[in-house]
Amino acid sequence: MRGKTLRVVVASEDPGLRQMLAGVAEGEQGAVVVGRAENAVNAVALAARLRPQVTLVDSELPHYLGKDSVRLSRMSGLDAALSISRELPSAATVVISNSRYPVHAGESAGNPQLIVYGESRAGGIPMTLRELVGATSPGNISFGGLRIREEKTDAARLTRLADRTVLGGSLALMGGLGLMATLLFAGPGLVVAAAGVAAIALGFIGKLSTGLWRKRSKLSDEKLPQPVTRDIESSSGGKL
Amino acid sequence: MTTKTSLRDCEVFKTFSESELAKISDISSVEEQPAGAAVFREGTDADTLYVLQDGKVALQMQLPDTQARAPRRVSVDIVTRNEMFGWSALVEPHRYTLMAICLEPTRVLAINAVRLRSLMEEDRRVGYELLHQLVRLVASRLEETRHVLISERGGLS
Repeated sequence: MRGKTLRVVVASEDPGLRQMLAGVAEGEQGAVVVGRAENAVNAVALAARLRPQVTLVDSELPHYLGKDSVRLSRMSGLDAALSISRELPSAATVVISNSRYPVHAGESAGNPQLIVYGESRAGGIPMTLRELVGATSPGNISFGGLRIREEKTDAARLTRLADRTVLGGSLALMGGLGLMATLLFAGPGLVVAAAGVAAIALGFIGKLSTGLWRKRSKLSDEKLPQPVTRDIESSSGGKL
Repeated sequence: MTTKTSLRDCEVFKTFSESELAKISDISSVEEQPAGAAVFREGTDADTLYVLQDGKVALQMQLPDTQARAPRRVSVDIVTRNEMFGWSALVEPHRYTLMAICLEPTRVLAINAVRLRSLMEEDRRVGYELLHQLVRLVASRLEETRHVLISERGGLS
């Protein structure tokens, strides 16, 4: 499989989520988005025509037309996935449901990662599309979600904190120097200025550490995939 | 989250008193299901009423097998947090008419429907309130279903 192009179809009514689903493919070498659908009718038709190896389907996909005032107009994601899986049994079809990993439109420029839900209730398994294809049993569908890579989000948060510390330190330094200039409050001014210098130094150390952490996170990002696909017809919960 | 808190967050139990919630809480338990698991299947005994605590569940109906095409399932509802499902447990002949599939790892509050029906008989206020809220819920779903039918027929014309 490696080296061959992986054809991907994505389906969501929401342009932001559609872009993020496409981003999963675009972030993987050799994967290419060959079709984008905004409803179930188009998703099934595109998959039948383009024969993708992977289809990512939003669970809240309208059959044809989503109406904002009608919640039930967006419930055809699973139906579309089952139809596509029947048409393309050896392809990987994933129903994407994102309430466990809420992502926001502002994060679409980030690095979306596919999470596939496993047998346990807690969390999910980050997988590449190639790993997913390898783990898929014929005729089965998978369930998953999207996540912005945590290390990126946390790193961005730390960088913001470091920036604020540097800014706060600079203001304290200027204030301290101002106080020293009055001569009357030279003592307290010296303390404030020194605190400002310390904050600036702390901020720069924080920025440096975040950069190193990002590099380490990238190196330790490899995870072993698990087979997590399901045959709905034989699926059963604990009580059945 | 305690079962009582979970019941209070569910629209159907909003009007129930603390003591009434306690009675229902006593006959409830928390169940967890992985994504893709069936909480129940159509045709099986409806002995449990569910409140979704976490996750998302699709309710699917099996279309009859015809010579033209293989049998397939169509989603008729998606249940989200704090919503009740498995209403067949309160309506005779107490058999599920739909299949419930978890779209995500899911946690549900499972209410023993046999004991709930007995409670509704014993405590008529509980029985009345539960059926009253249930009828409101079913009516709102029916209204939404009509809108879906109209919009989809309109979209195809």
